[in-house]
Amino acid sequence: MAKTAVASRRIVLLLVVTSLALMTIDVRGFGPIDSARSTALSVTAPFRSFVGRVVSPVGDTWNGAVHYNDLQLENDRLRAEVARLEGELARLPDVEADLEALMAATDLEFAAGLSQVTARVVSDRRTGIERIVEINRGSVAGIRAGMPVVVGNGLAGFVAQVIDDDRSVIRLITDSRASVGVVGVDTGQTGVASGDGSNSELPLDPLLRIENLTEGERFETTALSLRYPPDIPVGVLVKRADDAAVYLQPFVDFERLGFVTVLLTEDQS
Amino acid sequence: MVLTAASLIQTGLLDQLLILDRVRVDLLLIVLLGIGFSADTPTAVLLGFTTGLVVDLFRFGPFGLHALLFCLAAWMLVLAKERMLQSGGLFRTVQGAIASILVTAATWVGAAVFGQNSPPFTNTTLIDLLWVGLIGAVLIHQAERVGRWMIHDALTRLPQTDMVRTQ
Repeated sequence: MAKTAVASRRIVLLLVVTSLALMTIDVRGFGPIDSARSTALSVTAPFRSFVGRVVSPVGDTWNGAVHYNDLQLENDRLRAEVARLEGELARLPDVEADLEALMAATDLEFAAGLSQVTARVVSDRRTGIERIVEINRGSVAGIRAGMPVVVGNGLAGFVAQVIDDDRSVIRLITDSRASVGVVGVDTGQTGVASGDGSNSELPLDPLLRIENLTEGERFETTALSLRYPPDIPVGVLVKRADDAAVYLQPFVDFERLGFVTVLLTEDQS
Repeated sequence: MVLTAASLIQTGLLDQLLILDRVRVDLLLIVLLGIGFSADTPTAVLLGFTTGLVVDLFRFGPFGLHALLFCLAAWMLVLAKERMLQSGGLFRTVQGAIASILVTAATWVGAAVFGQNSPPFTNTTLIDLLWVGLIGAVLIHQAERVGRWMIHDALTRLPQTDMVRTQ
């Protein structure tokens, strides 16, 4: 009996050493072991596939029986998820429009060096008399009345009133009470563009003769302006056929104001 | 042949049928239990070693890890069988449950020691182990028959009396 026990222990010891040796060899990346594994898996693949096909109904039944409540919960969850996604899908055009407006408002190629606050237009009312545009930033963000308001492609207006900590009213340059001094980029002609409340073209009152102005010339804010920093794009010159009047077609699309950027000009003063 | 068939069933079927989405029926572990409770020490450790090698062949941990664990487990099972009080079928059922739990836990520990991802010890770990024990308890008698058939041994009757085997 004792001899048998000793022999058994020797066998166990031998197998343990063999196992450890195999593990060491495998950890060091012994190719034949990987080959053996690959061979075993590939040789048995057809059998495993066959078994899988044969017993898959069993598996489905098993899973259905064991996970019936889970499946019901999952079903409910998926229905809710579908409803939520449908809602999001319906909102997708709005989200895309918001993103586009935000990018347009913040992607400034001018006013470098000025502190800026990006704000969302939270209210845009047309009373029939005026257009009241409110943004969701106020005194807490450092906004003061008179600060210029821009979007990515040009001047939009200025802050007419700071209502409270988180709300302000801006006045668009198309407002009949707004005017802006402009200068032509090519000719250096100056003038004053005033709003007429139409939200479209700004009548331009040039300081020189209309005949000297070129159709299509870009106009920017002038350095002589007290309210606006210079070189902010305002619009492009449009002439009437009879040369009786000239207008600036604003770069800003005032019908699609989602976000605006307020230039904190007083901070730099 | 039994090991091959068990491996095919394990990899083709049982690995996909999880209890509570976590607990797997480990057929080769059950076979090992059958071997351990049926064979003498040299046969059991050799078959345990071979069974472990088959397991290693179909997994991607260190090759030889399961061979080592199953070899030692088979040895322990034989020792337990030879030294513990034998009291019939119910006792063997309990033995099967405990052995399943211990070998499974040892496999997890061994896997962790040798750098594999063993299951994290959470609140559900004990529940999982209880399930493993239940499976071992249910299948131990069938596993013993398979084990006896595997080793072509004449060991067809287990001691049915209360007695302590002595060396």
